[in-house]
Amino acid sequence: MAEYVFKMKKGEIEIELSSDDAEFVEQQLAKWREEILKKQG
Amino acid sequence: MSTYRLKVKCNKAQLEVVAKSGALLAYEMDRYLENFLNRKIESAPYKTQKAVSETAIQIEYNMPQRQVHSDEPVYTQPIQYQAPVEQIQYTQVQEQNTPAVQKSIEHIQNFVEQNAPQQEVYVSLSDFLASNKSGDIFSEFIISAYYIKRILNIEYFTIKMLNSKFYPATESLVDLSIIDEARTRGFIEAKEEDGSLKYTLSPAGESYFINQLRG
Repeated sequence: MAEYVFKMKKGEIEIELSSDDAEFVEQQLAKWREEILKKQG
Repeated sequence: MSTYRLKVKCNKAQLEVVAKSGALLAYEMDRYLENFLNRKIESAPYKTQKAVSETAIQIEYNMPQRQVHSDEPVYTQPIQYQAPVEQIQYTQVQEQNTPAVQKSIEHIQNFVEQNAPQQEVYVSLSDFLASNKSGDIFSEFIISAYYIKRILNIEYFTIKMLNSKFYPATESLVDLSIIDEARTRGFIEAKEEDGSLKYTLSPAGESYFINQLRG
């Protein structure tokens, strides 16, 4: 079974998400991406 | 069944959540994500743009860094750095003509000098007579003949032309007796032209003037 890992790091804080649920990881990444773009805007 | 793991690290603290439910993990992730995005990084010792520029200029021109005392006011205006002035040496290039060109220039200069209009001599016969040894009328005649030939550059003269200059200067006239004496002594030469006699000072006459009459 595949495991998907996504890690973000900013300064001293680091968030790492890992799961074998590809759809879940994909949804979370899309959500994070939207939030980041809102902050950039 | 899927497994969901969330790991959060902050400095030396670490939080790890392992769940079988994605919804629970998603809720926790959203909480940390908001904090993650709004978090300001303060630990990184970034330099301001001005500090970076000044450092770059100091490095470029090898200038010592200015010591700023704690009680010294900080000026907000940018400091004008004087770049080292380059010592540019200009070498004056002197044009050198080729030998052929230089020879041509000299040839032209000589030609101009030789063919330049001669300065006219405005010495009058009376002044010329006064500047030489004109003791009697014969001497005055020889001096006048020399004056016509060498000063006025007239090769031959008639008695009429001679007297037109001789009389104003001496209030006397040259007659044939003086001409004959000069011819006898070989001081003048005569030639007939257009039915009249014309005279010129001979080389012997010029020598006589130079050796005996010239002042």
